[in-house]
Amino acid sequence: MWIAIVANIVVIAMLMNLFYIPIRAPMGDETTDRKPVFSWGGLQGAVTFMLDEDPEFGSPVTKEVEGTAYTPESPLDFGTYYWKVVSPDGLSSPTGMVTVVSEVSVSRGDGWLKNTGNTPISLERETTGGLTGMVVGINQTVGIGNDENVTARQA
Amino acid sequence: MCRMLVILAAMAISLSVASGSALAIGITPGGTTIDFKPGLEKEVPFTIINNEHKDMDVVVYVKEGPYSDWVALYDTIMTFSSDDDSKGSKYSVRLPQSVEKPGTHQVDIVAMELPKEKEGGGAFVGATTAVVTQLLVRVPYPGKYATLDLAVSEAQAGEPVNFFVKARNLGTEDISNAKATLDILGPTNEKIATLESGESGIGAKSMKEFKLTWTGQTNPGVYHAVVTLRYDGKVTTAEKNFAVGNLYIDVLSIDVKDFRLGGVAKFNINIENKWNDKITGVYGNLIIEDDNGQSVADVKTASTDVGALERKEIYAYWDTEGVKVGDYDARFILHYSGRTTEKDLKTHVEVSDIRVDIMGLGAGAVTVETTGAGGTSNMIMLLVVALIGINAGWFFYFRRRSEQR
Repeated sequence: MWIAIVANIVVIAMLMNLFYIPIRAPMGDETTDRKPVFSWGGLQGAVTFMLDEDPEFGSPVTKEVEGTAYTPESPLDFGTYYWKVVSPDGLSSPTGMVTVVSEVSVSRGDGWLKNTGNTPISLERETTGGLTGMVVGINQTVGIGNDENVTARQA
Repeated sequence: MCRMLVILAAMAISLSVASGSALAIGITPGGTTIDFKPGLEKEVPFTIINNEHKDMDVVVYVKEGPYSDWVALYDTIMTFSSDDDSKGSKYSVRLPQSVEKPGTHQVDIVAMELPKEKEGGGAFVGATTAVVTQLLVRVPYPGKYATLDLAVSEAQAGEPVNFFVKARNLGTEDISNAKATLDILGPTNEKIATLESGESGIGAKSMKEFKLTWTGQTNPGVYHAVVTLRYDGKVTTAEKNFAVGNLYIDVLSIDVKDFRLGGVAKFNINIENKWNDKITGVYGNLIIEDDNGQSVADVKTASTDVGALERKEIYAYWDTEGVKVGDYDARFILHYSGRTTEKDLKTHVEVSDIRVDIMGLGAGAVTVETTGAGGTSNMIMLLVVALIGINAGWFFYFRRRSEQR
């Protein structure tokens, strides 16, 4: 008897998944990944993914998605975003939140410097000749003298 | 004190750069923005990242400037081992009761890598590498003062393009009436469309986002958007380039006319520029293979320019001397702007004719009809209710039976 009941409960749980869209990630996280992977559960198939800086979703970006994950095609601006998915028959997931923060990172070797962060940087270069500045894009490598003092800040 | 630290750090930096090993340091966030409030006190966290997972010391200091006394640090030296991915710290902000100058005021909190001293000591000379997290304090402008930020969603040709216009009132007074107008300009600066938002108020130190949607016939290409915000007798603008779709040239058809086996076959290749601007230096490469996969022809077309949305014919020539009648696999690769369009071909060579079929063309689109989700959901809901009922029935039935025993 108990086996039958447990089996039925499993079936019911699976069927209930059709009436509930659990969100998985990100949920209230802070990330330096400007293309975070948004993922959810449920068995709805195609859904509308909605992303907005407004928790009321006043002017959301929407995308029709097959499957249970979505990665933005272009990098998100820094800030806090709210997201949810809605099935074709109007079933909505809870609202998730993610904050995309900037990271200023550099790597430096013999005669070169690379911007390894997630934002273009304004590079202040200090040599015996004085101060100069330049903007270095994400993943861009520039040549610099080994005797230059450099300071990188968000451009 | 800060200056002393900097000088000490500069003197202590090792020769690691010159010796080839990489220096690396990161900090997050790159900046923190707060709105000015008289006497505001706040703590701001930040994280220093040990990108290369190595032993290092980091000196942290506030760069001297007109507002540097607003910030006090909790840590001035942070020690990292190779196991540390990152370490968090924070600084405290204490704002004055008033600031005369409106606008955004900046304080730099600098983290500078200070590698471990080499074994055996020795004099350290070399350059410093530092990263900055900025504190940006927005001091409101007297009256009404709006700034604009324009973001454009990605879209393919024919899809609606969404424009998100963020209007920020950095003033001390509410804006009672603001309206955004957005002009879309083509590659030759011709106006293609004008979009208008509704009217809205924007509270002091608040932001209002206007969403505008361009639903016109959007061809692939680069466009320019100019947005104007009119608010209570004042005007501000912002502009931005945006792209619709991808730069792409399609190969429409390939045919050969007036052919005799043994002579030179002229392949007429029809291409179409789907982009809204001229693409220069376009050429094609035709590769034909026999049954054994051996190349029997590898010819290039002349290089040409293709105007915006233009259809054009380019030519490839194949000397068929010694070529036998039969079927040949072929590939045509169109090169342009660092991209390629590639088509697989089936080439049937006769004595007086060559027929070229582009593989994949003419394949019918498959339409999948979907049933209404609402109906299915109702069915499943009924099934769930029935299952719950059946389970409850079983449960009570078996319990009762075991009680009777």
